Amino acid sequence: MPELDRISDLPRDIKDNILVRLSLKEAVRTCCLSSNWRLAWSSIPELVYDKNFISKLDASADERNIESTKKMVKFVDKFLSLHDGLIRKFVIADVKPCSESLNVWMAVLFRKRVEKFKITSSDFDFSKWKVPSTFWNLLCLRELVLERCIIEMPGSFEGFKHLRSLHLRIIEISEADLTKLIATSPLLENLVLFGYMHRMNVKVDAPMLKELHLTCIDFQHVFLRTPLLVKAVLGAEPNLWRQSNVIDLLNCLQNLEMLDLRWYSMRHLAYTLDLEFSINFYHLKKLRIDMNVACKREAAVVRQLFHHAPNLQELAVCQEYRASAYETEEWAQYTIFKHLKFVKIIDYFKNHKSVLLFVAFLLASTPVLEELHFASRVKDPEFLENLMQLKRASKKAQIFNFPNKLLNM
Amino acid sequence: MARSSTENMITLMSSDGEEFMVTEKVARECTTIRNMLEDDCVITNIPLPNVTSDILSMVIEYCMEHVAAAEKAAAETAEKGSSSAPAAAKANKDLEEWDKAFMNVDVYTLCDLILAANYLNVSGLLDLTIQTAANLIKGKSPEQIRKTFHIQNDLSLEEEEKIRSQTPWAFEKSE
Repeated sequence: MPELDRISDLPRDIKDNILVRLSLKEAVRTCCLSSNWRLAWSSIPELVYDKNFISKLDASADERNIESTKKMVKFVDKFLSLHDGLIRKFVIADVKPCSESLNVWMAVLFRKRVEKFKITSSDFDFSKWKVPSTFWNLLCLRELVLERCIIEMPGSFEGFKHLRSLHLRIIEISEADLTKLIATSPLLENLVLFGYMHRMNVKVDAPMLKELHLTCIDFQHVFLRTPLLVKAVLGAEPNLWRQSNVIDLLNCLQNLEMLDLRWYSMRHLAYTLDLEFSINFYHLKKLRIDMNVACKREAAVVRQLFHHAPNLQELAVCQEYRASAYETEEWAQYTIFKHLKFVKIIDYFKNHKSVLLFVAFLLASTPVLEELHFASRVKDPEFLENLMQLKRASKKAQIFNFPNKLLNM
Repeated sequence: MARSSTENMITLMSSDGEEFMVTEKVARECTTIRNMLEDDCVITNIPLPNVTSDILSMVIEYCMEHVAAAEKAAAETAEKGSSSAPAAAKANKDLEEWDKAFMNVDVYTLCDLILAANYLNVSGLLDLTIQTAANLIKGKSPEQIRKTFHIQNDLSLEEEEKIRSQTPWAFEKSE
């Protein structure tokens, strides 16, 4: 092969596509390769300024100190001033931006028609920054991630008409603004709300929404109008057992294919739900729950859930230990899982007797089971021996043990 | 693949006049060809004046491998009712290994493949080749990059110094 330079003559969009896969620093460094490459980097459509970049920029310094933030601001200012073309994606991670620079950036990003915008702050910085009013001009946004900030929406704001994905973590926002932000994003498909929103109503009116994560919330205050929802991850905050009618919430989840009940959700349901509830989850294929199998009330809710989800294919149960419950539950065998093929069980703590009963129930009532994965923090040979001897309804069922290892769920 | 014999065959002609017979399914991996077929379904002979026979045969090899992998996965799913996660993971890994071996080419061929994948709009191949090119740049000094891709440095020392001084942060030593 002749030693010809082919890469330099590739079309600009292909070069952009190559450079966008490098770190920003490496992409910019190509400017000294030859005259052809001098401004190649200036049309990279993505600015991703994340933790890797910060440590490269200032390896020894404390990431959170003022010097580092100054450097970051200087860098972003420079990048934006030299940039030529559109910017699809703007990501600043682990740094808290200051308001003066934010206003300038928003003005540039507005012209660059930014589609993905993400600012996250360092895990150790609990102070919040205020979203500048110019932010609301970024009407081309398709994906938005905001963390630890204060959001005040201008009254005249008419919505992000192209927004598909909205993640808000630990933010300060009024109930009215949150409701409006969601309701004026008609194409929203993915919504994540994380953070203690005490006694605030979370009204999700999103006709196109497919995936919803609500963590650290109080079920009593959640109102959904999401006809297309197929995947939900719900995590209730602890210590909120006030009388509430969560049945309305569950009613809104009937079309789900995947449900994940985390943290205190099961306890929340156990203490607020009429145990004879009857809501059908015909489409539910995957269920993941944090629960205490030794708690009678939780077990009753879970049994009821199983009973109403006849098409379940995958189940993951994370056994929680809570000092409040020591009862052992007999798992009555009245549910047959006709389609359940994969089960994962994680036992965080030693509550072996009730866990064994639960596994026995599952193995006996799953005629098409293929794999059951069991992980626990402690290794107990006697328990494992008992586990392997349990009667299996499915001839194909295999049990895999992962002692001292917690499966990724 | 017993069905192949009854499937429509399409002839692709490279810039240097060589003809390649492929099944319609394989040809459809190229979005550009798929669009042609959808516009005019009786078409059976497609000239590709931008792609040489060496490169076209490689693109076809890639498409055939990926079609076969997809068919195998679909057959397993149909047989079992649903796909088994570990088996699917293994199949994915095998295909990744195949892709990796397939990318064992010189930079000249790599750039030709990028252009062909771009022209024929084979998204998987475009992603693979572009990522491979990016990996060849990652972690290298400007001098090493020039050597890898045979890039002639037409900048004088003064010019290069000047360009570097405009974005000093990009050249700060820290790795």
